[in-house]
Amino acid sequence: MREFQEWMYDAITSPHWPEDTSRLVDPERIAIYRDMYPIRMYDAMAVDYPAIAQFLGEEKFHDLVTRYSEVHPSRSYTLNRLGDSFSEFLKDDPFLSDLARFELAMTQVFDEEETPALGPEAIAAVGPDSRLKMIAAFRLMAFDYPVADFFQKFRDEEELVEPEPKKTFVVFHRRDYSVYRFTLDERAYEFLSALCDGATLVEAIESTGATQEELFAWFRDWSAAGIFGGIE
Amino acid sequence: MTEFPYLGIGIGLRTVHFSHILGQEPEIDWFEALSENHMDSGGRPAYVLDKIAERYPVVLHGVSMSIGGTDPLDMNYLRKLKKLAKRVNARWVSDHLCWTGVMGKNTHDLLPVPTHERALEHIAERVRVVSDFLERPLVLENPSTYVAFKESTMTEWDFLAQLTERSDCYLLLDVNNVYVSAFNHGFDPKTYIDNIPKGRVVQIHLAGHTKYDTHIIDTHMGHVIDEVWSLYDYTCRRFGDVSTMVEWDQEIPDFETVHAEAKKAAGYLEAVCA
Repeated sequence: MREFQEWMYDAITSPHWPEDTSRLVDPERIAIYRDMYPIRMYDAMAVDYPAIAQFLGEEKFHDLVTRYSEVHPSRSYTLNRLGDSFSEFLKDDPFLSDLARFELAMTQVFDEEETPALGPEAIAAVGPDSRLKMIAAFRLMAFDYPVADFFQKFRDEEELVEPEPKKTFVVFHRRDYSVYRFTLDERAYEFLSALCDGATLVEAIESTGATQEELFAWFRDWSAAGIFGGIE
Repeated sequence: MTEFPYLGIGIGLRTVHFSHILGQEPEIDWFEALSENHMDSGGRPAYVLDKIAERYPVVLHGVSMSIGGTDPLDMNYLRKLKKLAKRVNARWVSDHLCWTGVMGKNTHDLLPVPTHERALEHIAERVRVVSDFLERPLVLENPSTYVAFKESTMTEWDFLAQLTERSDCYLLLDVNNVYVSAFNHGFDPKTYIDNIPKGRVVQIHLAGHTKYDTHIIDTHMGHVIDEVWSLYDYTCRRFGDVSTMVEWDQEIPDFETVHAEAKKAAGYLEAVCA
């Protein structure tokens, strides 16, 4: 059975028509499985990477997914993991690689475990030595391109043009089972990164030189977004 | 023999209907949820399924167990499946008589198994392992198939009948799949139904399909065709009250359209079992 399954797997997924089809009653019928395989891979990737799919167009995206799935075939019981190496695969195209990281973060935050956000009273009790934990459905990421703006243009069905490189910083989070995102400036990113890395509040302030005014604005916005999940 | 509850007429739970179901709480007997769509998500899919499970009976239907595979069983998958089944109080857990991949690689297709003694023994052993692990009998669905193998030595219905005896599994009889495979391989679908053992069928699937010149593909698209309704009627006459549900997975219409298809099934069932 093992040898049979290895043969059939290759017969379905190989770009080339199988040399030996003598096992089959009707050899031409293997084409049905061969035709459906790339469609399934394409559909799964188009769901998880809709902005890349739209930007490249159907034909280019199809070719890209075909090449990708030859190198990174699905190794999980779920197609949701098929695109996990897409950004790495696209590393020679820094913009698409960045956009793939962005779109992967969206799906990861969508599926993350639901954990409660701290309420206003708990936030008010944060002291200098407090360490803040984020909710599970949270990602903080830095990009070399303005991919959040690009993704919004995709959502707004505007014309998609590859942007010039520009450092950008994005928070992804989920609230009431919907995924949200907002951009940060570099100072806010560094401060929030420090908190995510386990720094106390005072350590994060000292390492970034955050001002009282900045702290007030950041905590107001981040508390309202519900990204804080605990205090240690 | 395990007693399975008769649930009535159900619908496959699909994302596009989440808001309608939560908002309208339609009068439907039960829902079938796709295991893989819910076992890894802690977000909205999990929330919606939990809310639905509070109000309706739920059964779980998977596509990734690869019970016919030769790779080791994926125990991580089975652990998640067991946890999900417990969480939503799944009335039963089903998958397909198929394999999905090999060498750690997954095609995500429901690939047919050659029907011979070695395959039967291999799959029966895996069914026993899975049933023990899940602490419940496994329910297996007959898939639509598009190729046949020269090495097969028995019919699919004989294979399934023997599998139920050797592994104590139960069957999800997909009437549309019987019709599709019968067309593709040139056998009489009623012969298939006639040879499925009574007392082993706990659920029936109905769905639309897509017909081409030389074959039919099980696309789960469109209405159930008259010939499949007729075969469903024949099936009901043989098996009596069996929980039945309608699958619709491509170009999914509004909930009411799918619900109407399910009500049509209820009409057949009531006429036969009255």
